Parts: sequence; C-alpha cells; structure tokens
Amino acid sequence: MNKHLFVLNIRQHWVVVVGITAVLLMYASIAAWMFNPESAEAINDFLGVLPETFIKALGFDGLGTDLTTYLANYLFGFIYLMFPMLFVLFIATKLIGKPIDSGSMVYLVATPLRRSTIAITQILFLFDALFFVFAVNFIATYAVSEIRFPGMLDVAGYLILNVITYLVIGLLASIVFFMSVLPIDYGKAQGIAISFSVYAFIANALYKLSDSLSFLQYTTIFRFIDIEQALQSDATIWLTIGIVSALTLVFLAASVWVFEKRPLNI
Amino acid sequence: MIQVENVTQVYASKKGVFDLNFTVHQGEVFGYLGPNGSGKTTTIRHLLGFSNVDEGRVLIDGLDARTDRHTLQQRIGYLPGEIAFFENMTGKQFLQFLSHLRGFQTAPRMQEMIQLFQLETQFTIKKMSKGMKQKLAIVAAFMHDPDILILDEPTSGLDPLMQMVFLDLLVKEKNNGKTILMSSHIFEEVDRVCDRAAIIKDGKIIAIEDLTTLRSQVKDQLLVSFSESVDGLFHEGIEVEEVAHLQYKISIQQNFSHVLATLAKYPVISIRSASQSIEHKFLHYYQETTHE
Repeated sequence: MNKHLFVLNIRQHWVVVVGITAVLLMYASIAAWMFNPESAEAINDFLGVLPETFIKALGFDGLGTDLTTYLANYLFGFIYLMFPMLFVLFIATKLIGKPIDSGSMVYLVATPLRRSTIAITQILFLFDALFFVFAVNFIATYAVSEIRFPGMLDVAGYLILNVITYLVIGLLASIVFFMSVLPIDYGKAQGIAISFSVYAFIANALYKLSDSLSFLQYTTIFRFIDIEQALQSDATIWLTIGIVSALTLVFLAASVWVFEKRPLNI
Repeated sequence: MIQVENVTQVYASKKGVFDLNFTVHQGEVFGYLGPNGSGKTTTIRHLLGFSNVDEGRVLIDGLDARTDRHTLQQRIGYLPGEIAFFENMTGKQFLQFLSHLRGFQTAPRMQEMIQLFQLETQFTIKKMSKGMKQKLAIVAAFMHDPDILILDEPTSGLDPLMQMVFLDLLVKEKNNGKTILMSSHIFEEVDRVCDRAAIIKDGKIIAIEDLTTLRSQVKDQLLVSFSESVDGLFHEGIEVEEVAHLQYKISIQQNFSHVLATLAKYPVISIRSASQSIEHKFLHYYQETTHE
C-alpha cells in the first residue's frame, strides 16, 4: 500500500464518504430514537393495511416489535442496501477507471510505484471507506439504543447483520471495481456496473413479491443478506460469510492481475 | 541508451506501429517527428512500458521497458502530450505528492525548476491556464533529475519566452549526459536542440536524419534584384537562377566573399534572404509519403 496515494483518495472522496455516512446516520439514529414497542405494533398494524407486495418490495416485511428486529427490518431491507450501493457506484469506478479515462493515471504509473501497489491501495481505500460508513453507523445506533433502551439491543446479532451487509456490499464493490479495471471504455464499464447493481437491487425487491418471482433470489448478490439468519447467528451464517468473502477475494485478485497486465493508452 | 528493436503493435483498426527500429544515445537529443496519428504517442507508451508490444522490444540501458518498468521509472522523466492532473490539488501539493511517490520529501530540483519556469504553485490546478499547466508538467518531469527524458510535444502551450527557456534547459541537460527523446511538430525547435531526428508516418519510420548533415545540406540563398540586365552574372562561377525579370536566386555554399565581391560589380537594387530551412527537408518526407 502507498500511504500518499491513500491520503490523496481521502482528499478526493471524503465528501462522498462523509455524506453517505451522515445520511445513514440520520436514518439509523432516528429509527433507534423513535422506537417504541407500542408504536411498533401500531406501525405493524398500519403496514398490515397496505398491500403486502408493496410492503415487501420496500423491504419492510414485518418490522418486528423488539428493538433489534425493528432496526434490522427498517434499515437493512432497503436503506442500508441502496445508499451503500450508491456509494459503491460513485467511488469504486473512480479509483482506477476514471484516472485512466482522464489520463491522470499517467502520473501514478510513471513513478516507481508498481501497478499492483496502486490497485491494492485503491482497494484498501474502498474497503476502509466502506468500513467507516458501517462502523460509524453501528456505533451510533448502538449508542442511541443504549441511551434510549438500555440492554434491549441484541448487540451480537445486530453486529453480525452489519458484518454480513458490509461483506455483501464489499462483494458488490469488488465486482464494480473489477469492471472498472477492464481494458474497455470507461463509460461502458460504468454502464455495466450500474446495470448490474440496479438489477441486483431490483431483483432483491421483486423476488419477495410472489412465488413465481422467487427464482430471482438466485440472481442477486443481495440475497446473501438474510436478516433472520443473521439475527439468529446460526452456523449457516459463517458459510455465507465464507462464500461472500471468497468471491470478493477472487474479484479483487482478478482486478489486481488485470490492472497489472492491461495496456494503458494514456 | 534507449534501443527500440523491431517494435510492432497493431490495433484492431489495423493502425499502430510497425517494425520500429532506432536508438537514442546518452548525451543526445533525439527528435521524433510525424503528422498527427502517425504513431508518435504509441511509440512513447512503449518506451514507458505502458503497453504490450506484439513483436520486438524496447531496452533502456539494457533493461526491458515493459518488465523492468518499475526500476526504470526511477530514472525516467516523462512529459505527456495530453496533460491531465488530479485537479483539486494546488500545483505545490501535486509536486509534493509526486515527490513522495518517488521517495523524496521534496524532489531535488523542484525549487530550481519552479523558479526557472516562474511557476505559480499556490493555485489550484483546475484554475491554471494551459501554459501554466504545461509548465507544471515540465517541472514534474525534470524535478527528480532523471537520466532519461521522454517528452511528448513539450513546448505546446508555452509562450515564446518560456519556449526559449525550455530549449536552453534541454541543451544543458544534453550536455550533462542525459538521454532525451522529444516528439515535436515544431521544426525550428528540432533544428535548434536535436542531434538526430526520426520521421514516422503511418506507423513506420521513414527516415532517421542526422541534423548536422541535414544542416550542411541546406543552402543559403539570396534573392537579388538588379536595375538592368546582368547577363555576365552567369559567367562568374556562382550558382544563379533567374526567377523573374531582373531578379535572380543565388545559392551560397561557403563562398560568401566571392559572391559578395561579384555582386558588387553589378547594379544591385535589393537583396533578400531566400534560404531554405530544415523544415523544407522534413516537409519533403511528409509530402513524399503522402503522395504514395
């Protein structure tokens, strides 16, 4: 890793990192602050009036009446997928693909830095920034929950849910990053990355709507985020974590290899 | 020393570079000329190890430009033809950043270069003029005191005064034993600083010229007008050509005294220089291949 390039990334992308963190922080802290077991039941009653498919598509499939289930369903069905996805689309393609497209990459590869060092530094920044987003939000949600409802949050279950979501968003980031290092036009790479991510997001919403659409769950990486499985923390969650981590490592290793070998027309 | 040996790279469009062969010696400025799209920048990418050749190889001081590029980049200064920076930095931050990437706290010649080119480094790069960005790129290429300089149209965007400063710097670097390759469209600057020059057209090198030889082939010519007929001029042992009524073109090849003494005998009413330049020689190559 090169610390100077890492610092350059912070300088260039801190606004997006802080912005996405702040948006999620607002949602998470307000959700934790506003929780009320009685009102949660009332909200569930209210959701029961709305069409079931509509509620499921929004990821609010039974908010639950305990704090952990309530936060998990409220945040991780929709908001904690969409905003990190936007974060990935905004940052992951800009770390290698954009500098190649603009030509500024020349000032990195015309130094003694190895291309693999450049790629690994960009990957570390991407995953550290993503970790910052999730870590700050986890800590804030935990703090607000302890202040408002001491001892009510299932910290271990909620932490595992955060970890698996971080890893799945990380897998998405590794796929998008891989697309951005391919020796194809930057605009085309961005288009493929956006299409892939949006499809994964929509398929994740649609497969819950009816049995006839349930096959879509096998076509989206967001299916790896199983809120119930995460909160129960049973043994299968470790299998999921293993598969997601392995896939992520494959895409990241492939990205470094492709960037090392590809021609740079800059 | 830079050795380009049988380098071929063909793009899907069938364009590219074909069987390039040339050498740039230490202490030499080697001009690399050619029309737009002729393959100059593609060649330069191979020198820097950015691209993979289909055939051939590029060696720099015996090291392969592609596989040993990390070692070589320590010793290479590169000025890109199309300059793109990380624009939300100031000039100073950018130069410091590059210094750090090269392992310096501050590159050894950074201040010297900033002062030489009167670069105002406090401004954000985004707000700099084209000329200022070019000066920033020049400082970035020279500030770590590299042995090998690869310069793609280096004076583009510079004002005439800065062009002179840059060309003087190149001559000094050459005299200090640097190996320099410079692509250019400007024949005057090639004439001024280069020892040899290659001309590339449609991806092929069509000539490599020694500038000293080329300069000796260039004739000094005078366009002389007379007030009356001067038939005797043709018998004076000088090279004369009538170009208009009472107007003659006289070629001079180191026989200045004889020519001037001869002209003094005739009723001259005007003398103008009609000398050829190196540009004529190069354009000859361009046109020759264009007509093929």
